[in-house]
Amino acid sequence: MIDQKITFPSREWVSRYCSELSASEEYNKAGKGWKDPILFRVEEEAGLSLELSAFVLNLMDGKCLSAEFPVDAAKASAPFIIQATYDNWKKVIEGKINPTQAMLMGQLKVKGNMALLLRYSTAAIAMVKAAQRVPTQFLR
Amino acid sequence: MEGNWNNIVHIDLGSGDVWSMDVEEDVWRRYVGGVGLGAYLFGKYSRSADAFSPDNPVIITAGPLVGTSFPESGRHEIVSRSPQTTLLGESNSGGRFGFELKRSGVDGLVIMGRAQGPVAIVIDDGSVKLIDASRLWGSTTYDAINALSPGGYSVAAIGPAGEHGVLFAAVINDNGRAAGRTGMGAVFGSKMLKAIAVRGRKQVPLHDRAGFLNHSSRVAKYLYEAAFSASLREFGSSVWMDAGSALGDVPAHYFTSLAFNYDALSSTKLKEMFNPASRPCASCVIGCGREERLNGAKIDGPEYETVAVFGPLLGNPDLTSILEWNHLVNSLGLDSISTGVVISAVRYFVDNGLLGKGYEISSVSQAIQDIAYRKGMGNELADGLERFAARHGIDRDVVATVKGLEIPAHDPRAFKLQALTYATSTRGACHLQGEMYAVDIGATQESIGIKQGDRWSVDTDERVMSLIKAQDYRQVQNSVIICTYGYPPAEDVLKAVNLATGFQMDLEEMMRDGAAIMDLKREINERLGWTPSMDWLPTLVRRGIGEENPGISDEEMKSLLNRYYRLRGWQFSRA
Repeated sequence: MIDQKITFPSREWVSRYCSELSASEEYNKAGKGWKDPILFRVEEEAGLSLELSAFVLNLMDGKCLSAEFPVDAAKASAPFIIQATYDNWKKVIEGKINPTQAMLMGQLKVKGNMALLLRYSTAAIAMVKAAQRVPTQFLR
Repeated sequence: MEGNWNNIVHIDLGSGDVWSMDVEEDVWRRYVGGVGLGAYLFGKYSRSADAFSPDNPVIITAGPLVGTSFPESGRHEIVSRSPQTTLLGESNSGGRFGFELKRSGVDGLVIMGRAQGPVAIVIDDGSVKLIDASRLWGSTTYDAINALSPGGYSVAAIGPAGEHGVLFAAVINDNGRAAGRTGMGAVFGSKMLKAIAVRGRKQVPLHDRAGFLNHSSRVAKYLYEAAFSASLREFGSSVWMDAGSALGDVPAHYFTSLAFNYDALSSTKLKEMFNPASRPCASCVIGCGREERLNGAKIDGPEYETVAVFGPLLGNPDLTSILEWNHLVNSLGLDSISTGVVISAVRYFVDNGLLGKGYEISSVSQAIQDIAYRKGMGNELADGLERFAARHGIDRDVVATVKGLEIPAHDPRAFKLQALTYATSTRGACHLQGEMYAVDIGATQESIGIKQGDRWSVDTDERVMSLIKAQDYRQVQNSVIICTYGYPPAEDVLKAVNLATGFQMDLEEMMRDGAAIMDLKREINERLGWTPSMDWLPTLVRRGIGEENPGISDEEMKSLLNRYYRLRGWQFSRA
């Protein structure tokens, strides 16, 4: 059976992504020891109709425990915030740019302890691979 | 000539003669500037003379991006025969010196001969004079810099260590910036050259000024805003202590253990305790340089390597002492990495019965001073760890050096390709000649083949090729010149070089330049006595370490080297 493609970003996409993370042995191993929720934010732009522009993944020891969807995306916060334009998120998910390199270069904007993120660079790769297992429909 | 002045100033300290020469355009295109130009000029002028011979030239270069607003370009290179490795020495430093040199209308200095007495070179907008530096001889680097900097000069100076021929003496410039590695300070000392002061107010000629400035602003903006830059600005390069220690990259107790309370030396602790201010180099938008407050005084703060070698490597969890020792090595003009490794080695040798109790080091401060002034045991240690250990018949396999240069604080067992970096670096054990610990956490350049991989699965053509590309690109970075931090995409560096010089290079040509510089440095080393057996890593830093790390066996090391040489197209036969 061919999976129906799911629009990025959407509640359905995020929920599926959370499941894929927990199911990923690579992420289970690489994310061991991680304790903090991460807020992911997609920058809004004219002409881009987003179902949601922010979501939080409650990540714990290599598992995704749950996803949350802030009512007011602009005011939402978390110990780590990763934000990017829609096109840069697309490049990361498609594997066209390395997530750590994107953080180093500002294509992914980060708030939070950078040293801790660097420790978990292998987990970042595993997170991209898990995202690639979600059959994704991009808006453009 | 755009991007450069095509002006190499030659100074004969023996006769006092000063003259300028240019180089062919194809030299600029092939060897770029910085370390590439330095190696080219060294190859041209060196007669394989001993490092302390008047005939050994010391060459100081800028590059096509130096002296401009391109971010992270405020650097210079010093190239000469190293007294420590006896091979080609090279050392790169930030601050303001390279910026001022280039703005004075000079791309490079070739300094030859030996002065009759202590001298300093003063360069003002390209006008060069030698002045008597007798009153400065014996002074600390800070005193020499303070004495010569009025009038807006940037000063690079040696301290007592360089004067006394300590083989790992540094050249310190501006605010505690160091051309630390391979003993360039001792070469200065052998020429009776105490310092160089330079100031420049000329605008660097650029092929497309408007395009260059626009491009530089764009790169500066994203580098400034990048999360890693903000982290370096807030915490300094010590931020690696926090990340690297969790990855097993920060060796403790002379490379024999990872059992250490790394949190005691975290970048957060450093910030809390000493309230540092950021001190950026010229044209820098990151600002990892530190000015710390210690006992009411403002002093230059330590970078990661210094914290690591005076901290975990010595088994020392006290940040205050690390700040004091950092200030001391800078004042005396010593390379902090070599100094820390030498002292930790002696303690290890004594603790393990390889040296008698007479060599016990009770005071690190005293040991640092004894090394700088070559007093007592310090006189022996001033020759570097490899010579010291050989003199005492200590097994080579517990001596943390490659080609005579002490191994820095990135553990090759944490990122195995770093073992090849250390073994094959032309200047000896250097973490900055293909930084695989950074590549394998994601500091990649995919378009030129520098790719992240599993840090422990490395013995494949693809992985070793990634290192080769990282080495070649490092030659480009050290030639154009830009800092290791920031790390803009290679395309943006290439564009800046093309806009500055008018060259229409593509990435392929730029990487060919990098490979050509690697080849040139290797050829020079062969002329200076390099043999294949020098490309090796001692067992000490390859033994199993930590709970799960089995280390790197002789067989694996040989296999990696054979693969590396095959891919390079070079011959390898372990002697």
